[in-house]
Amino acid sequence: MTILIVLPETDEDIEDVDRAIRLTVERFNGYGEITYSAPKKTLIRYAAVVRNYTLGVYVPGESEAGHDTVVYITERQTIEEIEWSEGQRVYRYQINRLNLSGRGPFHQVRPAEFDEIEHPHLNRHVFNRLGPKKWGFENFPYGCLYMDPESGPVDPFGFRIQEDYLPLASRDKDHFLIAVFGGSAAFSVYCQINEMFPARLEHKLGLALERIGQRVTVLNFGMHDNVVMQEMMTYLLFAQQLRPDVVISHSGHNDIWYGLRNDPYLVTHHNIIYQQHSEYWSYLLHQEGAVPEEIPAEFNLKQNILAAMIARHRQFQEIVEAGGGRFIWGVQPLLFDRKSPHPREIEYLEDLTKFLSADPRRRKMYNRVASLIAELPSRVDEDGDFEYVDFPSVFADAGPGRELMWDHVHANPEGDDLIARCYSEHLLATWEIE
Amino acid sequence: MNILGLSFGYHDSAAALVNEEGILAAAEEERFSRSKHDNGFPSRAIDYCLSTNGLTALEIDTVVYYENTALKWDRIVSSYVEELDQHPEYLDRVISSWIYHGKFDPEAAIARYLDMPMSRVCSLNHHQSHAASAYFCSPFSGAAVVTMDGVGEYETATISHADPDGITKLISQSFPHSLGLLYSAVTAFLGFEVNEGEYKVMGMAGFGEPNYHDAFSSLLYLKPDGEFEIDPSYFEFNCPDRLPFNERLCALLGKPRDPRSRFSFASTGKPDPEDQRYADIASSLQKCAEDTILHISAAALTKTGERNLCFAGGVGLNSLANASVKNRLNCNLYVQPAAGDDGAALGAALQWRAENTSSSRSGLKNVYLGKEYSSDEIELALDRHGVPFTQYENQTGLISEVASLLAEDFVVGWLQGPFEWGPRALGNRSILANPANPDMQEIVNTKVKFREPFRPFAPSVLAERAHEYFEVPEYFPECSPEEFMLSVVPVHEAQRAALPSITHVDGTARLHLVRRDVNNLFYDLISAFDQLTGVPVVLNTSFNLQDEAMVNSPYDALETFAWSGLDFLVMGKFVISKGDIS
Repeated sequence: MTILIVLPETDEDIEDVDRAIRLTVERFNGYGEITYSAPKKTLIRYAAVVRNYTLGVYVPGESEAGHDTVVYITERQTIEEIEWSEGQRVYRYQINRLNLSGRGPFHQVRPAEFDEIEHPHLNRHVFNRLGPKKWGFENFPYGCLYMDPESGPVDPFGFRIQEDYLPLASRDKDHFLIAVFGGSAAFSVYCQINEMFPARLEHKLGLALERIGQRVTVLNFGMHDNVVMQEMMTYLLFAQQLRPDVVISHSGHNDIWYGLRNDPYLVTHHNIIYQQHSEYWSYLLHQEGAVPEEIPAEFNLKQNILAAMIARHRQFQEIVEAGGGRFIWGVQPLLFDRKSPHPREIEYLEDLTKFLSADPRRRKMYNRVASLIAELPSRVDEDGDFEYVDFPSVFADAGPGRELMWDHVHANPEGDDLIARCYSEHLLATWEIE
Repeated sequence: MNILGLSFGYHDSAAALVNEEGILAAAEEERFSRSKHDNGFPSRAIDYCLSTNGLTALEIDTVVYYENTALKWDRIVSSYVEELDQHPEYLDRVISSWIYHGKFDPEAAIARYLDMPMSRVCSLNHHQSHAASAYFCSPFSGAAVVTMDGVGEYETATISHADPDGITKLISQSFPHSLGLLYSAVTAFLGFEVNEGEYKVMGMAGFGEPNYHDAFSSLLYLKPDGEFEIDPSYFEFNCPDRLPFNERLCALLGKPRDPRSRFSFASTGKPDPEDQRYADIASSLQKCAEDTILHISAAALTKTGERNLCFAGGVGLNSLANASVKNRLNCNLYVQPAAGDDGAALGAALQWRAENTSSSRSGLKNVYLGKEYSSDEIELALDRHGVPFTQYENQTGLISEVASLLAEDFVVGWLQGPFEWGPRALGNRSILANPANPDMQEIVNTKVKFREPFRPFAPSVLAERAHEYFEVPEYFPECSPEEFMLSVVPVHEAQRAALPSITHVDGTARLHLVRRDVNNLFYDLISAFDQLTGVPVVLNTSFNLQDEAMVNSPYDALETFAWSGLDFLVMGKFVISKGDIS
């Protein structure tokens, strides 16, 4: 078995290429020998990145020959004009940061659909079997699931959970269980599974608790695009039976992002915020009316969005507390919160600004999200009895030397480490453990 | 006969509908799209103009586009040829953009949209449209007409003589000698966005001294007969790429201002030394612009023998220069309120009407030509978003309540009647506040509009009381620039302390005279405020947030209200309190 890693044809940040190589190597570790190549024009630039290996000149269509797996580290959205051989597995690692899909960097190119190598639980249950076998949403009772096995192992429901957690329902008293909920920021889409903040939180708390003979497990029920209503449903379906000691809702962005655009009647009068694409699903099912707009001309009023978010978080809190758990609302950070962004974060923001300048409605939506997430912690605080962590302030005050965000919503591994540290300190302080 | 004038493709797309009786409707597309300076096809503005008059496209006799596309393209290619060596790729880019945006054949786009034969669509020249908009909307029978902007086809400025027989062009200034382009280039040098930041430059000029006047003398020099020349070697006018100026201008004026930097203040209210230079450059640019406009205007009056002067073209929005022209040349000045390319849509329609019917002028006494919303529509928007409100049965109760709110230093969003034509909020889509509160300028700038704290605000004053507070005559001729907030006047020194929030750092204010016969509701509101406070003036700024177009609909107003620091919103007879929705 051999793996070919093709380095970018463009001059990307060495730091990004270095990480891409590291993640690729980790991902395919044990699969076989790894070979590196780079297009002639970037060969010298990237020679230093793989200094312990021979870097061959990449010739499209020829260099791939004989390798079982090919990974292109590239800024391109598609890989074209290559005829791969039968059975060859092909991946694209998306190197550029302005990738607003919210998808992790690894993208399977061949085979065109997931198989059980990529997604071992592909045939585990009927909704996976009937699903699209591609990255993205799949239909599921009580909401929808999101399959992103390309970012690393996921369970049959798409969660980044690798263990059989059902036995935790009868755990010992000195074994704490923390369940994390949220969208892609909780899933930690740009972090590997050991880098995501729930894993780091488990590690940090574990070290502290070990000294007093206690232990902790942190389960990550975060899933791309989830709003708080779906967090609650996920809790009821999977976590309530475990009676977690602590439930963290690491959220804010998605409820605002969709709350702005959702049907005003549902948001305003019934506190219902939903994923916007649900409207499209309805259209597909019934073929009634016009195709729903992705960004409608009218946004909901911020007071109504906040009211809906707070009401539903309150409902989630009540459900958790009824089960004897503690509910913490972690108001997630955005890149827009950073007072002194890192130069690479500034670069991303400038690219984003340029991108948005062509689409005033989308630009307005981004501006609204940024402004509302910054205001959210004070509104949560005003509400009185929420236990919350104000990450917008934490990230705002983190110095310019620190690069914490991969894009405007998702933290990078350093950012996730900071998030884990804040949760850890918060919990240890309330548990009165040093 | 119904004639539709259109402008689109570059900035400030608009539609205007006229018939033999007068102006029926006019609106900028940005009010509907909410995208500032929207340059797209003005479909929603067209739809509004037709629907509000109960017309269909079949009932439109002629559609007039505001400029000559072939001639404009000819200028772009000719300019490109001059710079072929330095910018070989420029033309490819422009061609791609023109194809993508359908700019080569705007007449076909119009015919397609309105489903009418091409024979009913025609076009005029850019400055001809501007000149027509100025003269045919003016109250004057005979006048000198001056148009000035960046560039149309080739022309950048014209002088014409207008009388009931029509408009005769006397002098034409051609690209690259353009005062508008010079102003925009220095606007970009000062770190502001072209076609948007020019107002900020005017505001910034108040903090500076024209110490760079000599430098500007080498950029622009005046010639006899109202003409002028610009040294194009400092600019990138032919093939504008990222910035419209080059290293030579930097060598002349120093380092350009970083667009991301904030214009600072010391405790004295003056910029810090770093920004003082930029304020001085802004002041020098403004002086250069005023001198040039005066030069052209003086020549126009002399050549035509008129005492009446009409302005249009984007430069006509320079309210400091307008004041200077009025005062120094002692003439009657009319500035078409939508002096930019939006107004050219109206001008195109009026010019065609003058050439093809017996109608000539349609004096534009008020600017309330936009869309209006009924009480039912307002109530529907409030219900849709679950917003509690108080509804007043009569105007007197409403006015009394709003005047009290203003007197208590609340900031109020005000939506009434049809929206305004042109860039100024003249009392129908306005944010209003108490001008006597010394903190109000900062409150409105930073908490309501989220913009630079130095930006000045305009006063709306009862017309007959204006002379008590401002250095203006007791009586104004009809349709003066001050009625359209297009002229800057000194605030009486003794009154500056009484009106701290509308008095700019240089002691001036951009005046808006309010007449009861033009806007009775707004007039009565200011009167009621006067009765409570003894001040017949309110602070008036456009009802929008930074970088957004002014509000149009009740929903737009509600959304802006929700996302800003406004305390109250008044729409028709409905009053909404921020406290009730928070």
